[in-house]
Amino acid sequence: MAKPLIQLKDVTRHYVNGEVVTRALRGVSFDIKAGEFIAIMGPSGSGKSTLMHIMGFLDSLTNGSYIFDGRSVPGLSDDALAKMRQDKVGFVFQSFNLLQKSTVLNNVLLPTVYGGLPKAERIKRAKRSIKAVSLEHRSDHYSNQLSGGEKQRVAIARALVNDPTIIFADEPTGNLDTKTGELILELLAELNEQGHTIVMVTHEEEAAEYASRIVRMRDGMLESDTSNGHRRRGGYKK
Amino acid sequence: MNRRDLFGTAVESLLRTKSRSTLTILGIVIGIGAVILMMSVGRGAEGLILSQVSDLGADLVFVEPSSGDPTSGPPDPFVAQSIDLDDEEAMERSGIFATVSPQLLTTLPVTHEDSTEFYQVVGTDHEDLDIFPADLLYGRFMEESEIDGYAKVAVLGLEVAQDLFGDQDPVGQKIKIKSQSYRVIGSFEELGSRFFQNLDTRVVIPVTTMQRDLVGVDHVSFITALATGDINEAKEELRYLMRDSNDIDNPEGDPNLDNFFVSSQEDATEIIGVVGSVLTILLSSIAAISLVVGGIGIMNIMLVSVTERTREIGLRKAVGATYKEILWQFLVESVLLTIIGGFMGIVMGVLTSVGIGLIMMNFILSDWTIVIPLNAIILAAAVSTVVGLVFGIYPARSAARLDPIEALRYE
Repeated sequence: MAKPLIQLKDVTRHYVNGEVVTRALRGVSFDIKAGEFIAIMGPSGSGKSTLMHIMGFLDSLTNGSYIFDGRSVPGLSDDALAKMRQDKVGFVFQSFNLLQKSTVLNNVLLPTVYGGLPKAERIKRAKRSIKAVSLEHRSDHYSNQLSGGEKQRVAIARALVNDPTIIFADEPTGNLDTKTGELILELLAELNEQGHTIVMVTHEEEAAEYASRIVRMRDGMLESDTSNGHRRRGGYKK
Repeated sequence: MNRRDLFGTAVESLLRTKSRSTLTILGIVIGIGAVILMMSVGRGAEGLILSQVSDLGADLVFVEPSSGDPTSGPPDPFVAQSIDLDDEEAMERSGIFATVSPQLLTTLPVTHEDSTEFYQVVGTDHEDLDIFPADLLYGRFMEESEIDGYAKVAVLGLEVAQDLFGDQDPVGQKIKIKSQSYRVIGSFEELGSRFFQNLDTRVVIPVTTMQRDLVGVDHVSFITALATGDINEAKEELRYLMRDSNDIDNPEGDPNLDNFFVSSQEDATEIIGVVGSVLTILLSSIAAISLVVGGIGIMNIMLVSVTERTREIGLRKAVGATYKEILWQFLVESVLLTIIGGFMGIVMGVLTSVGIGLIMMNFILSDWTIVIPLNAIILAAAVSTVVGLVFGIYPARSAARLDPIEALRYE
């Protein structure tokens, strides 16, 4: 059996704010294999976002071990973490986080700016990503001229542009209506079928149904970890 | 992130807030422009002052009455009478000087027909022209016999001649100085000014006649001479000569015991040079304050920009930007603002310097020269870059240090 892509063991994360210590994660262990589509669920404060940030190299863990693709992550320098974010992961945020007054193409190009690839190659990749989310006709539009669903598709294209090993989606349907939310989930499922590993944080049961595996969290610990045999395609309701 | 991307990203961000960028640049334009203008005006003033003495030879020496060092205060009125024609004769006899000439200056009423005007009357001798060469428009200068013979003759400055006789040849005409009659023997061409005295408004007569008949004194205002050998040796020998001639016991050479002061054209140039430099530094420092204010404007705007773009910074970090890449992005923005401002400031500074120079030359001081100091331009370019770096580093650091998670959540 292939080695897991992500191996977390007894991961804790404490935030110290003056005298107050917040224990966001209290010992989380689980693996993610390449090609999975995982939904991480849980009420707010359960630690699901912290877990995602740690896996996405945006936050560091307090204790425990994290091995990504055979490489130990704790102890990596800030620059090495930035390089991991650039090469290995793509992020999709609830509030899209697009550059205003910038075109779709330029938004998708943004992550490649830090890669050092030749310009022509970067544009080729960006166009491929835009095609993957079916927004070719919007390429030269400014991001503030787009609908919410289109914005999130741009964000997904941006996450795909550096050909990441894994995509993290943080409440990707949170700011969208049912109809467009469904389209985004369909798109993520489709990308998963094409071989992309996806981790999605959500608190919507309906959204989680699209995943192949559902992890539930409570109070900084795993509550359950079940595979989802009857993955939903279509019929998403809020 | 390669250089072109860095530059392109910075330009794009600056263009996104055009009016704000323009106003920030304006602060630097004014600062740099003011520094260049002030340096130019300072140099122009220095050049103007130097032009008053630089025409004179480097071997020119002055002896003037003084109680010690002339920089210590105004001369004692009794001391002001300490130099006379005996000193002049002693200097002539010493053989250190090629030419020696006394100068006695005062302002007196000069009358021709019914009109009376006050002019500067200068008593000197026939050797004056050897020291201060000047061309005559009509007639001739004074001769030795006229000095020795207390002759009542006068040579007129151009403006005096024009005031009294229009464009006519004044030679042979009579004028009255303090109601004594003098015969005009010549008049000068236009001479301009020297030591800030207008040479065209003076009446030159024999020093002997002036002492005895017009002013009734034995002293002269100062003595000028041209040294034959080394100027500094000549000055030192002149001091011994003057002490000897005036019975001053001063073997130590203490200037406070002397009742005279010896200086050269070179000394005057040096003092003026120092004054000019101080003036330039003073003016530039005042202008530099506006540059600092402009720099603070840059810092302020960059801090606002960092706050406004917190989410953008978070996003850039999330997609792989390193600390250095964010730092450079913001530094390049602030340096770009100051370089553009610096360039425009140089253009503005040069244009206003030329403009003010033209106004000075045409309306106020015809001797003014327009100086655009090249080092001021180089300095301005360097300073504007440094201002961008210095005032940009703090905002850039605060951007680069942002925590990506918090930055992404920032509302």
